[in-house]
Amino acid sequence: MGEHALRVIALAAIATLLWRAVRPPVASGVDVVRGDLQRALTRWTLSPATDMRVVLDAAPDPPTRDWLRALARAGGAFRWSSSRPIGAAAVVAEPAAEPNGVTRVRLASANGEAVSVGDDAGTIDTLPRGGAREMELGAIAGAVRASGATFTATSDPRDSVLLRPVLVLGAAGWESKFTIAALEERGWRVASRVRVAPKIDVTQGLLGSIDTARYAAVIVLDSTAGPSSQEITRYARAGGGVILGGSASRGGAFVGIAPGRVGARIAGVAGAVASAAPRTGLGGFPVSSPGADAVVLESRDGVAMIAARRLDAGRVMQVGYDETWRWRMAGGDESAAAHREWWSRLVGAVAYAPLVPRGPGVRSIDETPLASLVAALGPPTPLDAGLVAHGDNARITWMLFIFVAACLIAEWASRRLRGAR
Amino acid sequence: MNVRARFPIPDSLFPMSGEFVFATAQYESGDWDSAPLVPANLIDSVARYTSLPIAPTGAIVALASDDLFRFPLVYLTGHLPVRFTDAERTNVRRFADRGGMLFVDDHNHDIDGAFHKTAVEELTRAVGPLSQLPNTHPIYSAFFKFPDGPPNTSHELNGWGDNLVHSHLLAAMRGDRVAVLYSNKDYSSEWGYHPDNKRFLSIDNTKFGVNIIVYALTR
Amino acid sequence: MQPLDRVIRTRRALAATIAARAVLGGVATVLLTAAVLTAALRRSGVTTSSVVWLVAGLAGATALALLVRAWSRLTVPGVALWIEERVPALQYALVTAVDPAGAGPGAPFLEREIERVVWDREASRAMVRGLRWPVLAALGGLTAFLMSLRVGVGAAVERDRATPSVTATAARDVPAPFARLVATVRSPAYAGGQEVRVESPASIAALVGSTVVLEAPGSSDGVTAYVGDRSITVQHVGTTWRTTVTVESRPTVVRLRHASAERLVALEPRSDSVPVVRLLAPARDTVVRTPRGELRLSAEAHDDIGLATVAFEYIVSSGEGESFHFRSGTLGMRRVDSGRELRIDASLSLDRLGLKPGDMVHLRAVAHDRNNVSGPGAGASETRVLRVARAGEYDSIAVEGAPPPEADKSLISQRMLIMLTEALEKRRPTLAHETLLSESRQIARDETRLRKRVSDIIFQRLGDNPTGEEGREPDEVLPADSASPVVDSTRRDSVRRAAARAGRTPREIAATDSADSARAALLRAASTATGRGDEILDFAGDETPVVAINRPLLEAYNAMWEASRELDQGETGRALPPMRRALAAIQRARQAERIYLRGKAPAVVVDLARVRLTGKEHGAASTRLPRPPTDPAAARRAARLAAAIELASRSPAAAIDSMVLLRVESADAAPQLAAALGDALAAMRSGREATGLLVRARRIAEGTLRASGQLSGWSGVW
Repeated sequence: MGEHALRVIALAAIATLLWRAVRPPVASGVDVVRGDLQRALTRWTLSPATDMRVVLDAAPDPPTRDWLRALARAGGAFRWSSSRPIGAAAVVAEPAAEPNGVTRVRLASANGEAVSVGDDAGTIDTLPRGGAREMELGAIAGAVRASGATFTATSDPRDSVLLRPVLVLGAAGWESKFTIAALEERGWRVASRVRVAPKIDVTQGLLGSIDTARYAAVIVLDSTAGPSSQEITRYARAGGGVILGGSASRGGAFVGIAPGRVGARIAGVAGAVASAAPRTGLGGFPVSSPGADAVVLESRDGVAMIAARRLDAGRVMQVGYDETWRWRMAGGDESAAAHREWWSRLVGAVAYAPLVPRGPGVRSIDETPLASLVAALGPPTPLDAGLVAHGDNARITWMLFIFVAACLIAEWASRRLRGAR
Repeated sequence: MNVRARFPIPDSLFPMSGEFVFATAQYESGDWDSAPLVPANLIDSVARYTSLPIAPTGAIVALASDDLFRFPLVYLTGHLPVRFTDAERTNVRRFADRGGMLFVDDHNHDIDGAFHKTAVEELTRAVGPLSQLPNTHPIYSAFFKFPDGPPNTSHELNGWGDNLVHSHLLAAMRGDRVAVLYSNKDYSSEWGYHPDNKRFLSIDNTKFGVNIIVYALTR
Repeated sequence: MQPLDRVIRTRRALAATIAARAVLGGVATVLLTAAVLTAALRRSGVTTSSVVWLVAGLAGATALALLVRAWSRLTVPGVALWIEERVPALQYALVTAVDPAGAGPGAPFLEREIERVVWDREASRAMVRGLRWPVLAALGGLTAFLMSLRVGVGAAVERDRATPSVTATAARDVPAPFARLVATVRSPAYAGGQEVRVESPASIAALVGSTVVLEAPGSSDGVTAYVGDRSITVQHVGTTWRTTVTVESRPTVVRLRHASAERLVALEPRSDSVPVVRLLAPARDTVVRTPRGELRLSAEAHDDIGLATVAFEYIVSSGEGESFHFRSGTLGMRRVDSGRELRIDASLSLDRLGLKPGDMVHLRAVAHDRNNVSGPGAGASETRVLRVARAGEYDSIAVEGAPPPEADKSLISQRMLIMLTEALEKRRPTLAHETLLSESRQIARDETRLRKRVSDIIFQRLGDNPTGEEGREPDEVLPADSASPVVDSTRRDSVRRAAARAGRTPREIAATDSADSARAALLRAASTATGRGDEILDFAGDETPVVAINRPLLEAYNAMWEASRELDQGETGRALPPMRRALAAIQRARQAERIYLRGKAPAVVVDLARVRLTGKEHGAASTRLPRPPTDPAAARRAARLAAAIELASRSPAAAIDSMVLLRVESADAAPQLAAALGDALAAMRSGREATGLLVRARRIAEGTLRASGQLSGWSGVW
């Protein structure tokens, strides 16, 4: 029975090979290319064809795409099709507004195919089913590449950011101490004024007027900065970044610029600072009634804890947590590093950080392969049977041949082993 | 004197967010509670001279308990030998690494006394070597000015203990930050009186305590 | 089917079986040969190459040819004979039937005989059995080959921390002048001085203080050596050049240079751990009522290299309040000549310690190791505390944070009482008599409490009831009638005795009398000591031990009595002199032994609203200095690693050197990264796939990969 089955399978494969050999060709006069485009492009460049068809199984690289576009516009009919769906993807790498040269990479890919993100030094991350991803990477070698089965998107951070110090205002206490410490340990330059007694402050750095020439961001931790509210408002409108922490907005000094109102204080979940969701263990003042232009960045049990908004040229963030220092002290062994990273991201998300172009010598980028292909060559044409069948797809032929041979050898071996002829 | 870890300190005892709570360390091996009036006296002083929000009573926290990390400044004193358990030693190390500050005062005011020898040994094991803190360190100018370094105590001047005036404090550092401040000047006796009795003093001898607290809160 | 046809069918099956055996045997030979050659070559630092497969293939082909020779014996009579051997029941009928010469009239008979015997199954089983060993051999060969791939390149087996471990590098990757470099590593003398010699070293992990000698054949001309930035001497010895370096406490790289060639050898210090000590007995803290007998002590110590001494240490603390003194000592010390583990036992005589109620003994075991390079390491066990219970005390195993008792008040010092009295005396002219009396009596009550404290101390030393103080309770309120007579101490005694006798048994009276006698004796002793007494003195001349020891306190006690009396009457001016005498006496007592007569203080709740910003002095603004970044080199390390990985595709040797340097520099600041780089370097040197390891190292260098699974409406990752 098994030998019969093997014979039938071998015969079917032979029939397939025969059919592939005798199927009708495409219309005459049409030059169809699939697979390796280089030889065809060279041929078309030297001897232009009147009707050029290209079947792509992946988005070509920018030089090939440009070449195709040039040929398409040189006269003659040009159409392209894809033998399989080419994934729509986009990747962009830009410097983050944080110290130590952090690069932010944003990626989006449709189609559900696996995407590998890496650079010249190798793979950084993989997305098994595509989708969206935002990453922040410490160091990039060369360009960032997002590769799927049908595309390779590349991007390169072309600019650097100019970061100025951060100004921290508040009363002396654990929150101001550890917030300043976290930012400094993370590499930020910090200027600060913390109130110890009436007219007695502990200061750091050069404290001048609050403007974007001096500070990348201003962090207001409590109501002690109320007298400077107007100056801070002007600063935000001019492009500065402001973070209103904890109870800073309670006194009403910043109600005009805050993304929302200050809700009644809620307690943290006992013991949760050492868990995988440490901020659930922190108490704070929720952002209640966020404005229409507010973007809620973090919420907990349906209550917004962090929200941000754009204010003219600047950005204002309202952070409800008022004792983030507990996370650093009472969290796990990595809590100090996590606390640092978190504060640095908060500041980076609002900081005034003008971009400085790096200059010439940037690598070739191709941030949206499919979109660029369509923009260059127009939309694809449907793939008809002739195009599918055309071309010596030697690999399939060889696979079928090996399959036939394997079936026949197996059938022979089975017969011989049982002693039959 | 065999002290077990206290029950977890409930949040309801210290509900006000943002206020400073003066914490006294409770440890297994000695008389950790030998200076019960120091917390109230320093709380009173901080309230008199600063506008810092502060809790009206102190807290007692076991050195081996996770509650230690709720109080980034902790005061430790005693007369008897100090021998940390493994849990206490681990906690003290983590506490210092994460940014906490431990203020240790020898209530005997001795060099080569049992408290001094054992406390220095245990602290060295836990957080690293203790070295002399220069008398120009910022802690001496954090709020009040002490140009000559740590103020002397009446017990030193009266010939208590080893009959010496100790001119320096010791410290274990984390970077440029004091993680452990060690004194054998017996500030525990100097500050161990009811705060109401300050009215009898022409000079408030607790001002250096204010410096320690302001330093811890701002550096 | 005819017998001949059946034999021919069996012959075909046998042929297939022989072919299968030959193939399996050939495969097994190939795999086993490749396994042996791969292991041998990798061990000597050469990566596997195509030569291995060529040799293995030849061996396999030879085996196959040999095994397949059996085909030539597959004649029909031969097969029939093979069947007959396995099925004796055929009785050679089959051989005869298939023999052309043996055919004839007997053929039908032979066929019937043959038909009676079922021999096909037996033949099949025999063929399957014939395949068993070749299959096992093939599987064994596959296993051996897979295991040979795991053989490291030139790694010394690390038996213990004292033995250095050296990683070698592939010879073909080494520039010519250093191709035959040999490292001889000797551990420090205290660790046994073991020597390890390895060719072509890449990294050396050894104890701090180990000596490393690097040498190679050739002249020393043009050869330079550096440790970090420091140049070290290169000597010419015989036909080789040699340089010696000592392993320091920090990781370093030895750079060997000759013309344009450079060779790096990483030195990784292995630290000597301190001994680990465990106190076995006593197993827990103890409270004893009577400190008698022997306390059994037992401990065990373990060190990674070798122990030097193990002993028990104790500290005896005596005293209370703020007056303590201490004694310490060691016992049971054992010196260790060799060995890493030791158990010691001893016993501590509690009688000889002379412990008293309230004393504490802190016990622990301490061990030192033999490290004489960076100093002997000392390890200590947990401490056990033995406490002697005070008289009348019950054991307490928990300290509760109880709220302060309502009726309790803080006792203030004698000095404070004097100041209060002086202040009251100053205000006397302006105060109403009732007010003056009320405040004066308040001070009197405080004075009485303090006096009670003094008597507690004195009575404790007598071993007597510490509450033997007579007189009214501190909170007892005097009648408002200020003219009420104040009974002096002696007469009060008489009154109390009389009141006590009423309605009591003789035994109770005797007990009360005894207590009263003790109190009376105290008063008399105080009077004698101070020279201020009354006529009740029972003895004079020789002082009692009570007096001798407590003279200053007795003086203070008496003076406080007097002061309380005056204060009760509102005579603040007349109270001051005895109060001052009491203070002087207390000072004298304190100088002899520290006694702080303040009493137990309750928790105090500060009235913040009342005191806020009432301080007479003002602080000053100050400046804070910025903290440096936690790890300023982290970003640089990540960038260097990314550059090194990028370089690997173009120049593997240069990339390896870069990573070696990065690994050494990261050993202190980023040990995780150093370990990850070590794994990646080991894979790269041995020719294994290192991509995954490099990705892992890169992730560690960059820190947490911040990523979110969606694009937010705000820049930044949440």
